[in-house]
Amino acid sequence: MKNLMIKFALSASLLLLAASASGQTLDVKILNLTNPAQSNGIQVGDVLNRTVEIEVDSQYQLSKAALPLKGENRDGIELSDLTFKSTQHDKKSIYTIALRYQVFASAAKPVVMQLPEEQFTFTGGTQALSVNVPVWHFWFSPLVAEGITNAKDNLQPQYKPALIDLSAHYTRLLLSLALLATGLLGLIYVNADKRWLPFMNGDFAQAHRSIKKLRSDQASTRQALMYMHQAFNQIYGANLFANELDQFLVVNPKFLKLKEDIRIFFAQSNAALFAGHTQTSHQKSSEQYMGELITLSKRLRDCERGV
Amino acid sequence: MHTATTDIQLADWRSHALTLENEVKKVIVGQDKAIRLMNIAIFARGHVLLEGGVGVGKTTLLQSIARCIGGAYERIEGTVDLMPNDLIYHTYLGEDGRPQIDEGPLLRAGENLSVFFFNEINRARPQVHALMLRVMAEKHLYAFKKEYRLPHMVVFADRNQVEKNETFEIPSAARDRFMMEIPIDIPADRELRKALMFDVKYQHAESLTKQVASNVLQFDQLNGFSDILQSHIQSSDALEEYALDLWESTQHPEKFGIKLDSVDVNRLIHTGASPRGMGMLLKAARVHAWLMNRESLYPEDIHAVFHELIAHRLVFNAMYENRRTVLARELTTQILSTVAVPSQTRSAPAKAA
Repeated sequence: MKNLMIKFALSASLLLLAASASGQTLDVKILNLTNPAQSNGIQVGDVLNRTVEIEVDSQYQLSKAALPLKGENRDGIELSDLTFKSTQHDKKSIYTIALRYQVFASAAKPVVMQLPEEQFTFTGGTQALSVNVPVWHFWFSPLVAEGITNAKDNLQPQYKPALIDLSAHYTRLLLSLALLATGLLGLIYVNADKRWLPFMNGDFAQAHRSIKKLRSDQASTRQALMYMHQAFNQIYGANLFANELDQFLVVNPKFLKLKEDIRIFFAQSNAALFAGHTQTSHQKSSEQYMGELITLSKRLRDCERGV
Repeated sequence: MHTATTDIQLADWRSHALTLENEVKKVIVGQDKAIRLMNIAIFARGHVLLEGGVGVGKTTLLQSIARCIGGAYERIEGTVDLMPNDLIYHTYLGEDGRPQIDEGPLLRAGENLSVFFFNEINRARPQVHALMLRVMAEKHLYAFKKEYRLPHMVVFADRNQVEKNETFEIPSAARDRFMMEIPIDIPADRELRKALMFDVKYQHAESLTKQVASNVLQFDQLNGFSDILQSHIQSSDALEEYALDLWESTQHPEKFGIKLDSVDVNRLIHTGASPRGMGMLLKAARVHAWLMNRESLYPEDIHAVFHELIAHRLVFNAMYENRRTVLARELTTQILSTVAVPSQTRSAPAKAA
C-alpha cells in the first residue's frame, strides 16, 4: 500500500510537471531553426551560422542579460557574434536570432563536434520563460592527416576548377580576326597605290600614281592632264572627248557619281590645253590645279575599284 | 577699239549664221548635221559636194540655203552631152530671127552669183569638170572679151553614186577642190519619215523654199568676214600637234596602230590628205569653234568636220578603191578614236625630264 501511495504521488508530480511544462511551451516556441548547410569537412577557422526564430507572447521580451556571451569558447567553438531582431504579429513577438560561431578546435583526425546548446530567456510575464536551441553536430576535419610529417605527402587533393566553355569566345575571336583581316584588306584596296590585289592596277590607279610623282609646275600640269586623258581613253577604248561624255557614262556607269566633276575636268583640260594662248580661264595656280587633279584621279580610282 | 568692233561683228554674224540654220531646219527635217556642215562651208568659203540618193531633198536644201545667203542662185544639170561652153553661154534665135548669144548660168549673174548648183556633176564629162574646177579655184573667167569675176560664188555639186552608167568619176585632184563632201541620207527617225510621206507641205518644194527667210546673210560681205573669223580663232601648240598627227595618220595609219577589219592598213593608202585639204580642215574647224562661241580651236571642232573634209580626199590603192565610201568612213572614225590628244609620244620626254 505504501508503495502504491508512493507511485501515485510520483505519478501526480510527473503529471503536474508535464502540465507546467506544456503550459510554458504554449507561451514560447521555436518557429524555425536554420543550421549550416554542410555538416562535414569543417576545418579550423571555418565560420558556422545558425538562425533561430522564436515566437513568444508579446508581453515577453528577450532578456538581453541572459543572452549567450559573445566570445565565449566552448570546446573550441567560439560564439563570435550574436544579433537579433524582433517583429510583432497578432499579440506575438517573433525574435530572429543570428548566431555566428567560429571553429578554433583542433584535432589530429576527423571527429564529431557540436555547436553548443543555447538557452534564451524571456521576461515580462508572470514567470520567466526560456527556450533551448539544441546542439548541432558536425564532422570536424583536420587540416593535415595524423602522423604525416612530410609536407609533400601532406598535400591534399583539391577540387579541379571547372573549365569555362571558351568555344563561343573562340568563334567570336575568329570572326573578329576575319573582320579585321577583311577590313585591313579593304583599307589596302581603297588606299594602296601599288598593285597588291587583283583589280588594283586600273587605269586611274596608274594615272593617280603617276600624277602624284609630278612636280607642281606648268609642264607637269600638262603631263598630268595627259595621264588623266590616257586613263579615260583606255577605259573608253577610244579617244574620249567632252562631247562624248554621256556615251562614256552610259558604257561605264560606275563613274556616274562623278559626272559633274568629269565634265568640269574636261572643260578645264580643254581650256588649259587648247585655249592657253588666248584665254585665261585657267586662273588657278599650278599647285592648286595639281592638287585637284590628284584628288580627282583618286576619286576616279575609287570608282574604278568600286569603293 | 578694234577688238570691240571685231567682237561685235563676230557676235552679229554668229547670230545670223544660227538664224540661217534655224530657217533651213524649218523646211528640211532630219538633216541637222548636213545643215550645220553647209553653214560651216559657207563661212569657210568652201565648195561642197553633196552625196546622196535620188529624192532625198538635196535641191530643196540648196535652194533654201541659197535663199538665206542672198545673191543670185544658178544651177545646171550634169548630162553626158554637157559641154564647157554650156556653162558660159547659150545661143538662141532672137525675135528678129537672127541667132543670139547670151551669157550662160555661170556668167549671167556676174558678181552677184552666190550659189552655183551643179546637179549630178559626175554625169558631166571631164572637160566640164576641168572648167568648173578652174572657176572654183580662180573665181574668175575670161569670156566675151572681158573678165568675169565671181568672188562670192560657192559651188554646191551633187553626185549620185548609185548609178554608174554614163558617169565620169571625179578624179582625186578635182575632189580635192571641194572643201567637203556631205552625205545626205534619208532620216532614220520613223516620225520624220512619216512626216515626209504624209505631210503635204514637204511635197511642194517651191512653196517650201519660200517659207525660208531670204537674205539672212549679206553674201557680198562673207569673204571679208571669213578672213576676220579665221584670224580671230586661235589654236594652241597641243592642238597644232594634234592636227599634224591627224594629217600623218591619213598618210600612214599603220604608224598610229590603226586597224580596219579585213584590210591590210599598210597597203590601204595611196595618198593621204593634201596640204590644201588640211588647210581647209582647219578653216572649217575654226568656223565650228566660232559657231560654238569659242575663241580657240578644240579637238571637237576638228572632229565635227573631219570625215566630211578628209574622206573624199583619201586615195586608196586600187584593190580597195571600189569600197572607198565604206572604208573612208571607217578609217576616219578609227583615226579619231586612235590618235591621242594631248599626244602621248610628245609628252613622254617631259615625263622623263
